[in-house]
Amino acid sequence: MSALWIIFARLSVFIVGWLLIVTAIDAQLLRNAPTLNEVKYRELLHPVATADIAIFGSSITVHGIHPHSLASASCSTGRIYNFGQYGAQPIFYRAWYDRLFRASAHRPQVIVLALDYLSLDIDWKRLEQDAAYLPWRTFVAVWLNAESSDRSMMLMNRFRVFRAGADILHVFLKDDSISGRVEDGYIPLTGRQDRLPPSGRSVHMDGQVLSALAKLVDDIQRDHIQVVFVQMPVMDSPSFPALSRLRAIYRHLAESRGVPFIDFTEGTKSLAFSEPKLFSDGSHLNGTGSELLTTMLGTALRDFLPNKLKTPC
Amino acid sequence: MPYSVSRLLLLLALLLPLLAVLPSRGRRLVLLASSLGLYAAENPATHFALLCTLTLAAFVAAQLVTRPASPAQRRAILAAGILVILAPLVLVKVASFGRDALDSGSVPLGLAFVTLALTGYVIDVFRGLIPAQSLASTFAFGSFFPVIPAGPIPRAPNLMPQLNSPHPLTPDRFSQSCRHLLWGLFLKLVVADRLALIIDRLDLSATAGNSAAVLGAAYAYSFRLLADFSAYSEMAIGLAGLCGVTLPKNFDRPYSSPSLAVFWRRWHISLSGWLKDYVYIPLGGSRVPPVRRVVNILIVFLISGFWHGASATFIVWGLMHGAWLSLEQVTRNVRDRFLTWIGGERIPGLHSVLGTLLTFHFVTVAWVVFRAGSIAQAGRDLLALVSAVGSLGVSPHSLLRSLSPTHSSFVFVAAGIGAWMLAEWCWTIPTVHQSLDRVPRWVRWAGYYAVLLVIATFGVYDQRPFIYTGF
Repeated sequence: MSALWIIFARLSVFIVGWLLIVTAIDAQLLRNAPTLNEVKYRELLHPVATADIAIFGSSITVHGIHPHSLASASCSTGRIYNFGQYGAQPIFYRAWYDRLFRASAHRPQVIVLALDYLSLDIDWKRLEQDAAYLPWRTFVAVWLNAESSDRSMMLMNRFRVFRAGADILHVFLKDDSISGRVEDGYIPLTGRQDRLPPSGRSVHMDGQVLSALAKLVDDIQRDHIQVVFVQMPVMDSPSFPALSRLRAIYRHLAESRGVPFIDFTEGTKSLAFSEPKLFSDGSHLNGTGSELLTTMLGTALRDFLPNKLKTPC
Repeated sequence: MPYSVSRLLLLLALLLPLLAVLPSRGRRLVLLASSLGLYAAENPATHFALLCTLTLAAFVAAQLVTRPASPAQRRAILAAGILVILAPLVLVKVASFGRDALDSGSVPLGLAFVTLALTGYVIDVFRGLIPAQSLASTFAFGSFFPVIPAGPIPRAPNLMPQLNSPHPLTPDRFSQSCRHLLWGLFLKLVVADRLALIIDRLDLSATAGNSAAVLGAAYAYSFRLLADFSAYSEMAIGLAGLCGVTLPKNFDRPYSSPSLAVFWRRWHISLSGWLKDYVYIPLGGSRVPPVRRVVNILIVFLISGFWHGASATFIVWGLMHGAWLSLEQVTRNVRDRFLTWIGGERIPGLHSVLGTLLTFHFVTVAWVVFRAGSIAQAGRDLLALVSAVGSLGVSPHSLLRSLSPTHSSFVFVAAGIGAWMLAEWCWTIPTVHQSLDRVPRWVRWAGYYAVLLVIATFGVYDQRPFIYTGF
């Protein structure tokens, strides 16, 4: 019996020690090296920018729409924040909007839903994956509704030490954190990666994701917020056969819900983005490309802004 | 582990206190119930029924071969018993012929390992190395949960006495077992599964015609397979240790072997030992004329290939090893004379270094065949490998380019492999184990926390199954 007590005591002390280490490192990481997601969740839960115009979208949006330039180009008095997140699509945004955005203290007047060629693909990201950033009450609610296979993932993700990877080295090496490079939720890309344009790839259009997009629009409109669809530009769009099908789906949804649709993959707008130099890779615009897009978007968006957000240009 | 983690943790939480307080007989019964319960809970009823049938067949065969009878009758009973035990494995393997070689499909968990363990038990009883055991002991042996999924293949004279009277759980045994578990987790999550991510990336580049990626994937797979399989073996040794059973090690730095013969004494030691004792030696072993010896070696490796799967790739992989080992045996004198003639003996270690490099590269090339889904695929991969080696375009730069999106992964895994090799080398120093127990507890715990932190931070948690549980 004494052997059992010794094992139990040592194991308990070891586990408590481990929990303390995990918590301490986690707190240090969260303080010194916020991720892009954390920056966005901070703005959502403790708004500083208090945006009148919020932008939702995936990584193509994170690197594609510069809020500061958009305000100038649209001659808007409103504050703009880019809530785009890597891999975020309608299923994610619907849960995110319903559980967090709707409950936040500040509510925008316009939401720009930036759509891209992967927006209707199978769900790339789910709210469960952002377990680390959810308030405890939301975390518990999401955890209770999650599938059993997701629950252990949520617990692991709650502590950043389990997925810090290179970040943990950055903390010890006193490297720059991402927060210094994020401006109103936007990150300009520099350099060029050696990737092919996406025109050759097949695009999966999932019915569940489309349904989530429609419901997201309905939810936002029910909250009396103006929705604007923006189809983000694609390099080499004329030779991307899946785009015409996507465009038709987005247009149909926009018309049925009375949502304005600004499309950068057709006509003269797409021609402006036929230049590969504007892209960092096949999908994401670089700094120059995003400035061009933001300027063009600002001009187009002005027509759909409420009067109180407009000033003479 | 191939078991559900939550179920395994629950089992250990219930099992360990019992193993610490119960007397020997109670520990044996608790272990038997745990093994059978876990297998039944984790697998379909048909697979559980198959496990029970195999164990029952081994029990009956062992009882019958010890009954007074003429040698011929006893041999006939032994042959019949072995046939009955081997039949399901052969049928399952043959039925899966033509499928993707590494697609385990619906093969019952651990069938290949249990079959060899039970066959070995019946043969050992026949040889008089161990008395025929009771039904409960045979079931405890055939279903011992740490070794069922992927070995090490247990040997009855070693395991059965321990299962009949498991060691009590002491603080020292607990610490040592947890060390094995921790090391296994490190090898699996930090090295093997991170290498798997790199291999996926390299395979994509290889498909796009990057010859450097083909070469990189071959090397990476070599280390991944060793890390993955060693990880399971370490965890099995750790789990068995917690249950009061000491298992022998299954790997002993195989990639530093100076010849293929040494490699097979260090790689999957329990399988090569099994094949040696139950196939190679009964065939005559090395005490036969050279031609017969070569035939014996080829038969052993043919069986080894078939044991991995009834696929042409595994058969060819086995024959490659058999052919190379035969060549090593046949040319040993010629090679020694050549080395003396060129004066190589004057440079200490030259023979060993060259042999190690040659053996490692042969094994790596053979893994390309082992890994391929079909013979046609293996042929294409080998051709790509030859063109990669022959092409001047292969350079560290082009290899790094194909890795670029996973560059940090590459750095982490290189550091992980370095730490692994260093630790393996340290274990070869006889005094290291004793020294480790003598260092102050806070130093040891700091080390454990550091390893845990590395696992937590750099581990890959995408729940890839262990490669060898597919056999």
